[in-house]
Amino acid sequence: MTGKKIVFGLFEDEEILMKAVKNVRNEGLKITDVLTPFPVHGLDEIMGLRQTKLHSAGFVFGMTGTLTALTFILWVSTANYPINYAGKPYLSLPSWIPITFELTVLFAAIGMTLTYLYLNRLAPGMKPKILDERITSHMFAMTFEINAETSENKKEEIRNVLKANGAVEIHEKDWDTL
Amino acid sequence: MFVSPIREPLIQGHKTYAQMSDDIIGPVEAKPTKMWLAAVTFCGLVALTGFTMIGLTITYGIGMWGLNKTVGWAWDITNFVWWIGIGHAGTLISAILLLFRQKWRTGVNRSAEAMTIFAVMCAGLFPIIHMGRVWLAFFIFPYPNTRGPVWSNFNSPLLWDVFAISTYFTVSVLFWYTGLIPDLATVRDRAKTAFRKKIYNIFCFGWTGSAKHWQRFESLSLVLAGLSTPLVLSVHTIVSFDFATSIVPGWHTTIFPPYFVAGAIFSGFAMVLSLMLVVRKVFKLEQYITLAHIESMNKVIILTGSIVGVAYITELFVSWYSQNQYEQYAFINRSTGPYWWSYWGMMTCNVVSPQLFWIKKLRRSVVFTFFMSIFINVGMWFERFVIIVTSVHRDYITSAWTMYYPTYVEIFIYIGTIGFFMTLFLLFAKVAPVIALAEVKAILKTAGDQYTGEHATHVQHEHAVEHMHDEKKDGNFGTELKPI
Amino acid sequence: MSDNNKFEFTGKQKKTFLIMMVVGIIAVLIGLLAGSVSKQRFWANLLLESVFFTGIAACAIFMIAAHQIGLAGWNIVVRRVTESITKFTLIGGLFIMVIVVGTAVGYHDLYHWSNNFLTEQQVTQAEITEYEEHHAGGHHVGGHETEEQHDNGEHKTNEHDGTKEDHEQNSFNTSEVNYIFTSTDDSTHAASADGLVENPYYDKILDGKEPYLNPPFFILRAIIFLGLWSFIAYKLRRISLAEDLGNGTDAWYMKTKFWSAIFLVIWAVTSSMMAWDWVMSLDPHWYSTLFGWYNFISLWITSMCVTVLLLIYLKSKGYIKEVNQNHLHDLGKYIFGFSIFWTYLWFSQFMLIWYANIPEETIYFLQRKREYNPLFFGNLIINFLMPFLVLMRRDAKRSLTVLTIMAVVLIIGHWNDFFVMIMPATVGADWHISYFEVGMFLFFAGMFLYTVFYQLSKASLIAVKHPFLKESLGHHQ
Repeated sequence: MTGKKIVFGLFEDEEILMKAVKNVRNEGLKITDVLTPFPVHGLDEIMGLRQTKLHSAGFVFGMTGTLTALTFILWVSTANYPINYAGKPYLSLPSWIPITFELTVLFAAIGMTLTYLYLNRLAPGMKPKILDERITSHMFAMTFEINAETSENKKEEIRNVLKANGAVEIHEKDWDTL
Repeated sequence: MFVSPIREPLIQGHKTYAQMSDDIIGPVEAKPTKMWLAAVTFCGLVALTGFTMIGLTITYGIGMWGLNKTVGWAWDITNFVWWIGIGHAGTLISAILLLFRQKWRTGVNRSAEAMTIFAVMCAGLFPIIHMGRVWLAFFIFPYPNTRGPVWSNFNSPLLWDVFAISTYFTVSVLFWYTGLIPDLATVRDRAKTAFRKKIYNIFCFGWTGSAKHWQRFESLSLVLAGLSTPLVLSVHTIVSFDFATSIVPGWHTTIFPPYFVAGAIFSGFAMVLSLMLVVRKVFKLEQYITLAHIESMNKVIILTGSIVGVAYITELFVSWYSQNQYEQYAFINRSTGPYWWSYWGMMTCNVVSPQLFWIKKLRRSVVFTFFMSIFINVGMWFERFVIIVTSVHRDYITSAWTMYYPTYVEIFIYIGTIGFFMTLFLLFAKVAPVIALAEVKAILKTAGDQYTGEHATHVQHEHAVEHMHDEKKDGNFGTELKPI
Repeated sequence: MSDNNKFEFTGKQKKTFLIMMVVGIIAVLIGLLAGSVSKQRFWANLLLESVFFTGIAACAIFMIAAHQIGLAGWNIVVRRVTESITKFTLIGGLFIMVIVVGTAVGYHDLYHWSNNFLTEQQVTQAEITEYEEHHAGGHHVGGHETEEQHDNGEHKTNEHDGTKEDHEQNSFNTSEVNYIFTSTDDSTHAASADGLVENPYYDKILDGKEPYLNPPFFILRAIIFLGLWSFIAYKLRRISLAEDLGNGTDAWYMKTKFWSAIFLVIWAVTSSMMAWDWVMSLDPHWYSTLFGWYNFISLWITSMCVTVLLLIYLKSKGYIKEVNQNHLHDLGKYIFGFSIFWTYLWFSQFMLIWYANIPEETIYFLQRKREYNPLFFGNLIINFLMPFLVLMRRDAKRSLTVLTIMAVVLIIGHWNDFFVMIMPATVGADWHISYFEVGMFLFFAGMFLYTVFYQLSKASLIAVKHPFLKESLGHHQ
């Protein structure tokens, strides 16, 4: 038992939510997370989230694919199993381009998706903490992490800020029993 | 973001987010209707017939088909290319239209992606059964083996195809499924029974909708879209290489790659239209797949149909221009030879009839669009038949000229794949939302009819033009400039 | 919006462009008068520049039409610049007309299919002598085709020695390639009763192509293409300017839509045909169905690069503050994406021809690989690798410096692409890129910029009443 608790406010509209996030941050409160039913454009910027580096991972995976394909075909065609096809040279780069391209895309796509799933801790059988069942449908949640030591004042402040910024419902839940 | 009032809304009925969830997930939660059960049973039986015929082919060999010494590729490869082509629309809608910021894609992309995957499955079937000894199909992959150093031929377009199609299938599945995850989470959270919750939780990978997850989600979709765009081009390009690298008159022509791609998009869109027109009716999704969506798709049909038309005419012209008698004869034979009906069928269905969509009224007619979409699919099947059978049945040596006729086995395998495709699509439509729920919600504020179009009730936010320091309030700026 | 969008075409700019043109003319004159530049090289360069710049202008019309039909909103702030570029279509077109008309008035060295002599089986001895004298005079005949016919793999000594040597020195030696066709036996020059002899230069293929490749039809097509483009460019511009004075309804928008649709239909056909006519028929035996689309994409990329450069220039002068990084980012994405698409087309055309290995087709690339090696491979490096590696990053597409550099590089790159398409068929191995080529380029660039700047100064730099203007102003990624 860590005594970890979550205070969260539910919002009905993403524009109210965005303004709320801005105001809450200006007031110096640390937002733990914002949960939304769909990707809200620009929310990450307002929350001050770091830009994701996922696409760089994609580039690295892609290049791995390119090199794998080229070196493998080069080795097969010129060293391990050189066969004369239609009088073309063993090293026939133009006819290797298609497979090289496909493997680049394949490696990048698989690598990136797995990285994405890993970073987000998404996998079959994961037991997520669902704060409210409406969050994936039509409600937007702004959450604050607190614990047993958090003072009542602090809690009250969070509640007031949420209310003042348009939260329609405010709840407090134990993290461990979720 | 400001949206011009002359833009047509893409979501009708003044929807709220909650209503959107109800409307789109509703069909998934409802008990299967009798009609659905009947449809699945029927399509399943058709698929079964097809698989029986495949069983016959495997048992007795390729001799069950109408192939002969001259025509080694016919109905099977025609079907293969036809299905692969249909399998291009999903990725096009999700990837290319995402990059081009076409908002209407959100209404149809999910189903189109599912359709893509099922179509590629049908397509992949044909080259495999065409091998005859299907139990040796794994030979096509380069794998270390004990037969001495023996590797597959990396210079062969057929091997490129193996890589292209397996990559395309994999990436399409990834693209489709990563997009589906948040929507499955919505289904999970709305589920009434614990069992249903559990099942959907497994399939939605435990999604919660955290801002950081969405940020990565958007990055992933954008990069996957960026990767899929050249990929979708490469797949049909490589399919076209199967023909164009050869020296068969009518096959060896440099326009094949882009022309095949345009044709694939053309037929894919037609298939998406055929399915979506039925889906929107049955699932009552007319407010999400509106006439604006249909009109936009019909515009893509005109565009790709015209590209294909230009390519046909280019081919025809250049065959004459080449002054090469074999090239010339290939086209004379196409248009006036024994298979003339397939050539003119192709021209009518693919080039002439889509031009009717220049008429706005027809572009917005559901019934007309439905018939047209079927028409185009028939036309695109003819196109592949023309390219494949007509080119090979009469080539350089007249003594080898012959005719090809399909047998009942081939015909039923083809019909069977359509049944298989429909079965898979019906199953998909029952277990997962057919519209990309999260993505449609994301465009509500810019494309909902309460915000844009003539029935708008909400005033748009104009913060978008804040940076214009000297903008006049009435929007009537710039009058002091006198155009000359 | 304030005066910041009333563009003033300053005297200094005018002077700069005029100097560019004058310097260009002087360079060309020096080349011609000093005798170091052949007539063929002059015409080939004129063709190159006029096709290149007219193509840029015509692709700008396409840009407007395609965005209109695609209901794009983001590009409205860029639109006036694109419109101004379109107006060069007519002027560039006039230069094309000069060249095209040349085929009818006896200048056959550029488009040698236009020479009637080659398609006549029976000619007089005098005509043969005249033809041989013409080609013995140091002319680099575009087609080596005449040679191929009576070569058939072995070198015969005959009366065309002059021509042959000329070919061997200056042009790709096509006798290595055996054509599948043969023509009449050239050793028999027995005069028939009416004084006609068998034409040793008779080209059966060109004879077959005559219904399409003949000067009157060629000229007619050019008039139709250029006339239609110029007319629609004029129409679109006029509607756009009228909108500024209008009452803010969407009437002009609908009109633009109508003409855009018409243009796209016309462009679908003419974009390919212009490439066949003006570029592909320089090698009249060679054909590739993809050629038209390949040319179009090459020109379109250039057109977008020119737009980017103009936008950045105007911004640096304090105009069009409304165009921000987001709009340039979009153009950058286009340039990036279509550079890859260009590579795809290049590869498709090259690979299919390389793979099938049919001599009639491979000769095209073989000649370019041998005689234009650095330019041929440079083409791929500049037009594919550079944009691919540089413009892949988001920051790069949002940086004005990087965009400027890439736009300049790609304009040079696609100019080179056209150089490699046009020169081998016209001047053969005897190619140069020196003061003469630069001069010709400068002349056209000066004329092009003068036209564009003049057009820019005629109206507001922003289409102030376009219904999508606000969308464009608020556009962000």
